[in-house]
Amino acid sequence: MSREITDETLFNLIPQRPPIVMVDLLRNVTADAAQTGLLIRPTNIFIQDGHLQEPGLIEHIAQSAAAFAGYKGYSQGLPPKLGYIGEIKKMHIHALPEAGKRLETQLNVLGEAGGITLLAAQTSVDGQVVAEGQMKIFLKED
Amino acid sequence: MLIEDFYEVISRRDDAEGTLFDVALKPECKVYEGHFPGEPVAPGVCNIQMLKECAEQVAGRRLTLTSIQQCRMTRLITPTACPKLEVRVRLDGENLVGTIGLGEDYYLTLKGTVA
Repeated sequence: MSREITDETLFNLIPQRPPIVMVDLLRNVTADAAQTGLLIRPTNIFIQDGHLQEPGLIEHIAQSAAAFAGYKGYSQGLPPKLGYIGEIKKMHIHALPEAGKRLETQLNVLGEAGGITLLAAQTSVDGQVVAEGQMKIFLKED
Repeated sequence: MLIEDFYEVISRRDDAEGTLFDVALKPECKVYEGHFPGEPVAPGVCNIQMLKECAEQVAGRRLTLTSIQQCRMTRLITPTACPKLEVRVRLDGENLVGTIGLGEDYYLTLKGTVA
């Protein structure tokens, strides 16, 4: 996919809604990778003292995975499935970015089996890595 | 508290294994409007934040979670099914070990570091 999916169009791909929408861009989706992004608004629920806090960075990664999973279903005309974080591993938080900055995330799927996806993510701001780690996401089957 | 009205601490006690907080989740928290509409589930990251804020009470200062070696979320936490929870934290230098559970049941276990 070369086109970008942004803002409220992304609502077709993720089950989360305001005030906890933590991804606003999905692009360059392949079978096992994608890029995502988020403009950190000052009103973001995870902002404290002008900076995005650790759970905000982690939730951005989780919702990046949700958008990636949702894209597959969306292209088949299916609504997004609820997804839950099952496990976080080897996560490092290097910095808490300021409001007004943009998160840019590279997502790589390491494995998929039985509704569980293991992925690695690296999130940068202005080219500097602010968070990186692995996550297992469970998708709820209807 | 980062996420307004997510929980309140009912009581706190220290024992040989660290500090145990009895907490109550608040179903009126705004986060449930979006997570998920009509199906409230406590976001895993909000549970982690609650655990970190309990550790801050033990440390007596603000903490930043610098790494998570491993955090397992074995059962869903919802404000209706689990209004009362026990948050256990142990701080040893920069190392933070914590659990969220109730009695013999664990919902979340975490090993990480703070600064």
